Amino acid sequence: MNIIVCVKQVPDPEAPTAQFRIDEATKRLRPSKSVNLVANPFDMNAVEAAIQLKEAVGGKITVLSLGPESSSDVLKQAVAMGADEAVRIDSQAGESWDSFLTAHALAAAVRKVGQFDLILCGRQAADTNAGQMGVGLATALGISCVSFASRVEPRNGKIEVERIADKGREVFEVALPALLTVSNEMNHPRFPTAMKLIAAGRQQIPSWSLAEIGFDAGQLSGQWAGIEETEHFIPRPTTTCEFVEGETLEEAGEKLALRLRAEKVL
Amino acid sequence: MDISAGVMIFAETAEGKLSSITKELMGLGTRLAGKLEKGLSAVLLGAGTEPLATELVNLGADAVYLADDAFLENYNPEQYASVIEHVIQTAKPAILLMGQTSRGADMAPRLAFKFRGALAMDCVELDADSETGLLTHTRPVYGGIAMARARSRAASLQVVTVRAKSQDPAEPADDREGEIIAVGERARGEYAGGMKFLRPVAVEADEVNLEEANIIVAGGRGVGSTENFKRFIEGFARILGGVPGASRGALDSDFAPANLQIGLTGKIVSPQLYVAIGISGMVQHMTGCSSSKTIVGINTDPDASIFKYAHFGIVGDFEQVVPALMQKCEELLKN
Repeated sequence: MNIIVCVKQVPDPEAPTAQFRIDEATKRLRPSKSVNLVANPFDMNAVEAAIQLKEAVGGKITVLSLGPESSSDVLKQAVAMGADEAVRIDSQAGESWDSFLTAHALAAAVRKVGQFDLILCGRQAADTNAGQMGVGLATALGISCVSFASRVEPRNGKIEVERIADKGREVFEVALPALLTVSNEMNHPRFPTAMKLIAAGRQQIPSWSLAEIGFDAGQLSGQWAGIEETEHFIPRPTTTCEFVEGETLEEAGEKLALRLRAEKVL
Repeated sequence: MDISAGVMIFAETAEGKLSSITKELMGLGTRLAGKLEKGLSAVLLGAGTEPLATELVNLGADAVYLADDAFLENYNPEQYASVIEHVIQTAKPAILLMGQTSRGADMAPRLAFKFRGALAMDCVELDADSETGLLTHTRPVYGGIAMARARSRAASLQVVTVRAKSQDPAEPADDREGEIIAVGERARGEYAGGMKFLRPVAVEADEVNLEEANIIVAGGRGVGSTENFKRFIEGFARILGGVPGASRGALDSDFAPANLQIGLTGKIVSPQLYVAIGISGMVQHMTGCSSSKTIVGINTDPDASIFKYAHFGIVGDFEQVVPALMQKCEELLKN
């Protein structure tokens, strides 16, 4: 099974909230310099799913990322985990990429990769939270798509996919080629060994320019209504916490129960 | 009222009833349609859904596009999309409102990409400019650390998904009038796609209805083990007559089943009482529960962000605090 995985580099979503500020000039959230750039966590679930499928039925895994030079780190991580090839599609920092343009650029890159059976994406990016790109890429390529996938198994040249429903799960049989957006329920991404990380770190990740994949943003930009962000702001919780204390923690626990009763919460 | 260039909502059902997000969408849709001075319509798909069409009229729909057909009993996204595309081409709404649900969040990008419209996901606030008909939306970014305000660039088709419990639901009235339009065979067509619905699967803790719960006791990574989760989280929830919930941390550590997850990628809840045990209060979690009426935090770290949201807090080891708290609550609730 030939699998393409799309990954994105994002500011570490686990970084402390205090490390993020609003830049007054641009009105956009800016992570401080101490916030690392990491692989979007859901995308690593997608890489892990690809590796498990390859382990089961064989095949080849190609990982793609649209982003500036720094995105190579995410691709190297995927290679260290077990991906066979990685390509960065070169975009410059500061360029405005909405999900429509990103999906169409990745569609062009997928066509350049050539033959594939399955494309895996994370269910959403930790920075934009949009959750549009995967489904959009499938629409752009005209292939079937299952979003919020929590399990995938190869079945007689097709795949059986479970997706997360509002209650329980829904199971589908899907003909290939197809695209899945992968949810964290699917697996726990493996940690590559130090040896593999070092080996992958030494690799040169090839990059394709937008011209090389035959993508012209200008040609597309008028064809998509889209939205424009005007500003970011940080919501502040306005509650004041009443700390309940006691001689012992047990006593504090009992006092809390009494406070809740007094407030008619219980 | 003119349906064309108006507002349309994607109605969803749960256990044979309109789901609560649908009522919220009707409330929001009524407000936006009023600003645009256009009609409000709903598209309702499923099998045996006909009786619910009248309910949508009672909630304020000027027209309901009803596809009540056995082939829509289960969710095949491609078949659902083709029916809704047909309805959009017929009714020509300017705005399509969907819930940020498993189906809404799946369908919205399909439709927006197909119609090359404007798309905003997981909106918590929405407004429309009555002159231009353009939407402005507020939605979380960076896992909820920040909110982004944005506006649509063109009014051709604006698709948005709306977060549960962010809007006031519409109130029903019996005397409302609206047209129910059956979406017939033409929409159904021949399906030649590659997707086949096989079966629904129930998962552990499926019977727990977090969204409707009045009391939730939630555990995080700090709970430490599956045994502790059962004993302190599920056990305390039982005493309070509530239900257990979990943060992503508890899931990733395999302490709790996936369907209990509360937060950005889990359920959005707003109970009367939310007890967070061993939960640090990361914004990705709090975004799913911060509208709870009373929040109680128990954590060993006095600087944990949970205390920025909590109304009551105890700093300390939950294994010492919670048994006493449980016992006292049980005692109080008996009287």
